[in-house]
Amino acid sequence: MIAGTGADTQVQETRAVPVTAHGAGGLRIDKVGALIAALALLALVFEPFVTFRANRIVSGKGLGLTDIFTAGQAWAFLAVLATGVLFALLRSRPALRFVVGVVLLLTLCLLLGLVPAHLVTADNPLARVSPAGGFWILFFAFSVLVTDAIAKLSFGPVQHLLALALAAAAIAAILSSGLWSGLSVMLEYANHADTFWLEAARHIELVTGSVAAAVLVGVPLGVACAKWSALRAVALPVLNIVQTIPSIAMYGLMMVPLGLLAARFPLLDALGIRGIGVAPAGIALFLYSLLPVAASVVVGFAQLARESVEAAVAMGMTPRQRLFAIELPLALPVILTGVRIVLVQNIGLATVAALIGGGGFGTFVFQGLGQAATDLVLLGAVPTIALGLAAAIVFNAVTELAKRRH
Amino acid sequence: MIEIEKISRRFGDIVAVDDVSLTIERGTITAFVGTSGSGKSTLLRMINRLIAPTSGTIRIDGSDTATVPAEALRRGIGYVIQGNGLFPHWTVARNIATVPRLLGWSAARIDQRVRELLTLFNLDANAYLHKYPHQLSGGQQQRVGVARALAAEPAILLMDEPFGALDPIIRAKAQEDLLALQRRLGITVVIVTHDMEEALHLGDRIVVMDGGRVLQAATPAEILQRPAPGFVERLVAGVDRPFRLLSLIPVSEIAETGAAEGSPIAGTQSLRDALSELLWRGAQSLPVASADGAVQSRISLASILARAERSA
Repeated sequence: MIAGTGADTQVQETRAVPVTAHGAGGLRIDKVGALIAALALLALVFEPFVTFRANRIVSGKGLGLTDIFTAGQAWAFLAVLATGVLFALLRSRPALRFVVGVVLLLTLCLLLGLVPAHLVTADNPLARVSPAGGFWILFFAFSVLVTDAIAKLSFGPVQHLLALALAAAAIAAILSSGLWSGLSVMLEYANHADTFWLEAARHIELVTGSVAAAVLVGVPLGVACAKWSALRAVALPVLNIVQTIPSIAMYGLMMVPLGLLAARFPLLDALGIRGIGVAPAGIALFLYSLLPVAASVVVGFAQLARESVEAAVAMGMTPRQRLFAIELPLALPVILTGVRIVLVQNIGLATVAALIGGGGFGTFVFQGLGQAATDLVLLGAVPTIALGLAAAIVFNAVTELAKRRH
Repeated sequence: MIEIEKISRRFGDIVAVDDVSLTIERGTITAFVGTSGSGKSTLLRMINRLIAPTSGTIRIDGSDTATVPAEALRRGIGYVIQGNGLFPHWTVARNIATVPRLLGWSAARIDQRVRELLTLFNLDANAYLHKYPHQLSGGQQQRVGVARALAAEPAILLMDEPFGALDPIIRAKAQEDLLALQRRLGITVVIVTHDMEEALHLGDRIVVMDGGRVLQAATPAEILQRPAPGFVERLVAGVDRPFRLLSLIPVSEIAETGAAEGSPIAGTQSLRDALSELLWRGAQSLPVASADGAVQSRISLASILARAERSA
């Protein structure tokens, strides 16, 4: 099968891609495939697939596939993975690589789900199973295979959204099927199910609120900086300094003035503006977002074609007409890049808000750190990463679609 | 009529335009010629107040431009720049409609005007209305740029190196189109160029500038025959000065009654064309056709040579 597909695509591939390596029988090594194969080898030979712990907080020991399953099962799984990796190693059509990558990822997820039943028995009901280095490296390697295939297929925005929806549906199916219910992180979820979705909503509120405020303030500020160099010379360095304050220090700095304000004006306190909680967290995220948004407006305006702006003036547009009809629309792609950076940045930064009672996924991260429960940390960290990825994909796709309509 | 009176413009210590006075007659083409830094572009931009003069006044049809709001002034003056300056995010139709929209014309009137202009510039309206500038060739972009400048039927058209980005063949065509357009619409055109050849070809009047000052303002024939000593003289000097001059004189001016062999040449063509034709055919004289097609006169090699000699 491998030889057949390799020969099929050889003709097509040589046209676009310079020859880099020769395999036996005219097969060619794929560069990204070589990386994936090396990672898979590392993961399967040197890294444990899961960590096994007697209970949720003691340190555990790493187990490989052969330690978990019977020899026959382990070799069967290894054979499936090895076939997939070998396929990835050789050049082939991107569409095929996409499918193989998805199959490998699903196999890996299935494999992980089968582990707890083999290790957690009636004798040790408190035992915990978590994915270890081997699993994560394989997951990363197969994701690279899929991502690389998507890049080569040059997906349009709609296809990107479809791929995202497909991934979300697969994850939802795995979670609701109970396949992973035996994993430690899902046991943590079961314990925190009541607050998980509340914190998720809080996390999203913090991010959307701070990004919306940053756009509302940052865009006019950026426009003003672009128009008046004196303002730019003051405002951008100040925002730059704000950007360099470590997030924990920023929250600390927020606490004092907001606490004083709340003590002095009970109304503010009643509105939730106090030294700790959502208000300082939201304000800090907003301040972090101002520089990227304002700077992207300044850069966008600096890149405007001189002829277009001069023509707008010469046609008799007022400064206001010029701003809304010519300058902002032409600078929009650059501005949207800035907004996307801020969106993804704040999804990550919002985790720290939990430190001062701001809530969000960070709540689980810091609880987990406090209890030395790694899997509780994962319960906060993995959704944050997924949210960041999904937000970036959706934002890019929507931007692309909006551009097309013009 | 545009009256420029004692206009100066300083940028810091640099005097870009130095005490220039000039009158531009209605319905003519005036070409500002000079090297870069001569102040020709600055002078042009002061007419629609893209640049405000440091001192002096500019009057258009008697009224001081400083007394009119700048936006209103600019909406009444067409403006074409090098590289066309079309708005890349707008269609051809929307680009051309820029000034009419600013003036609040009705949608139906704008649509009619846009189609009219595209037809005038030999662009099929239905094919080009919804295209974006990047989908057009350089020559087409240039024509759309001029169409946009003329959309609201201005009496004055300012052009800043409008043909600078075009290749020689398209450039020559664009120059012919501009001449035809100006004759047809009777508008006042002020064009900035660094190319003396272009200025001689297009201009009814040529204004040679250097160092912010006007060195000479005269008709092409005067500039060729009596260039001001120094810069202007060097600018027009060269082997083909007599030919340039001959190209300014129509055949009909020195045609004499009589007959000649061969196919006739139109009386509206220049003496340079006639000379070229005579040399090519190896003939001593050519029949000349008048505007109505009648062939009753001729042009001789000797008379052309005599005319060229006299002008030198």
